[in-house]
Amino acid sequence: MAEEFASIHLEDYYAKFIEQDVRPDGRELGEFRACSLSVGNLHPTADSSATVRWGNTMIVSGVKLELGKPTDENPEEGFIVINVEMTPLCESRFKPGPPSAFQQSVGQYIEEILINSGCIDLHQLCIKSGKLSWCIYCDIMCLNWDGNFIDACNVALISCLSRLKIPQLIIDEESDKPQINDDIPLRSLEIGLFPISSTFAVFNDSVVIADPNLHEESLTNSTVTITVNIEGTICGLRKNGGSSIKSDQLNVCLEKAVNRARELTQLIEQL
Amino acid sequence: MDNGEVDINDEVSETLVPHICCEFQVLSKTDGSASFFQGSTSVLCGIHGPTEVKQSKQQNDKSAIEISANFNTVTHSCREKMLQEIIKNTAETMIITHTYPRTGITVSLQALHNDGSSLSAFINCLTMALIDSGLSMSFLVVAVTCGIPREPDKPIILYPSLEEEKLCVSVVTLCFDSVNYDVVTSYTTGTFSILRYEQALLQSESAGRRLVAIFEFIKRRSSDNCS
Repeated sequence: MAEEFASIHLEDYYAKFIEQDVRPDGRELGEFRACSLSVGNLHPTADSSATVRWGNTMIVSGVKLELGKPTDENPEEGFIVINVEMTPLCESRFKPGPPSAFQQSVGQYIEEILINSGCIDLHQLCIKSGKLSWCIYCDIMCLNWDGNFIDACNVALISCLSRLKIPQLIIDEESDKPQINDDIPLRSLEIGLFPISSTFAVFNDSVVIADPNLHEESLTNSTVTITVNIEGTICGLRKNGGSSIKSDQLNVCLEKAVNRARELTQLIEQL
Repeated sequence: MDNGEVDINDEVSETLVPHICCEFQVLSKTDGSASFFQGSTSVLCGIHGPTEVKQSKQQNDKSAIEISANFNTVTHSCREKMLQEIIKNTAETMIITHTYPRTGITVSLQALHNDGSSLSAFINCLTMALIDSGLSMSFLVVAVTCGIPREPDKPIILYPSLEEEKLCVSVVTLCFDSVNYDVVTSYTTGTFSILRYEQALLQSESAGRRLVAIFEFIKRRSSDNCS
C-alpha cells in the first residue's frame, strides 16, 4: 500500500515523513548514509584503486601513472586528468554516447573540488622541467546511482590518490629514455588536507536534508555541496539555483560538513 | 531602511556596487533583450520564448529552458558547460516555468568585455533581459561577486576587477532572491575560512539590496518612458 502511494504521489509520501522529522529510509533529516571503502581492488592493472559503497551508490575508481610532456604555460608541473563515467548501467537517465551537459558539469565539478583545494602541488610530478613529467589519469565509474554522486566520487578519488606510489626515474644519457630506478623505493604522492564534500538538499522550500538519495534528489531542484577539510577551511561551496536557503540553515550545514569531513578523513587514512 | 528597502539616493550604499548601466530592447528580433554594464564588464542577453520545441525536449508540465552563454574564452572547456548549468538553474528558479508548459525558452548570453566578476554580470544581465521579455517571474535574482584577499586582515572586495581577482585567494559569487534575500545560487573558487564566508555573505546581502533597488528604479524609469 505504501509502495503504491509512493510511486504515484512521491511528494506527498515524503512530506508525511518530513513532518515527523524522519525519512522513509529511517534516517533523520541531518543524517548521512554509512560509507564503506575498500582499496586495491584493481591491482595490478591500476596503480591505485578504490571502491566506495555509499548506501546503495557504488563507485569504482582507478588511477594510472603515465609519462607526458608538461604544458608550455606550466613547464614545472605535471598534470592530473579526471574522467568521470556515468553509463546506463548505473541509472536509466544516462544514454550511451557523448556525455550530456549534466554529465560534463558533474565531471568538471569533481575535478574543480580537487584543484580548488590546492591539496596536491603539481610541481612534485615534474621530472625534467619542460620535457618530462608524470601525468595522473583518474577514471571514476559509477556502478549504481542512488543519489549523492559527488560526495561518493570525491571519497573514491581521494582514497586512490592518497595511496598512489610514484617510482623514481633515471633518464639514460645516451638514449634519452627514462627508466625506472628499482633501487629507490616508491614515494607516495604528497597530499595536504583532504577536501571532503557534503551535499544537502532543500526540500519543500523550508527543510534542509543531508545526503539526498535518488528519490529525494528527484523531488528537489536545489542542492548545496559544501567542501571542507578537517581544519574547517572551505574549499568550495556550490549551490546550483533552485529554492533559496537561509543563512542560518547554511551555517548548520557548514557545521555538519566539518564533522563529516573529520569522519571521512579518518576512514580514508585508516585503511 | 526600516522595511529593508534601500533608497536609491543613499550615499553610503552607493559604494557597494560599481557603476551599473542597463539598456532594454537592444535587439530587435528577440522577445526580450538587455545590455548590461557592471563597472567595465559588459554582457548582452537575448531571450526568445515561449516558443515551440522538439518533441524530445518538450516537458509536459513546464517550459524547457535552454541557455547558450559565450564567455569569450580562447579555449572552450567543460568549465563553460558547468557555468552554463549554473546560469540555467538560476533562470529556472526565476521564471515560473509552469505557466508555459510544452514550450521552450531560449536564452543567449554574450560577454562583450570581461573585466572581472563575469558570472555575476551574466546573471544580472539575464535578470534584466527577463524583465524586458515579460515572462512570468517569481522574483528577481541579483548576483554579487566577492573577492577574498590573501591577507586575513584585508577587507573583502566587492565586484573585483580582473586584476583584483588575480590577487585574491578566492572568488565567491552569490545570488540572492529579491523577496527574502536568501541565497539562491553560490559558486566559489579557491579556499577560505568559514568566518570569511560569513563576512562575504553579509556584505553581498547589502550589495544585493542596493542592486535590487537599482533594478527597480531602472524598471520604473523604462516603463515611464514607454507610456
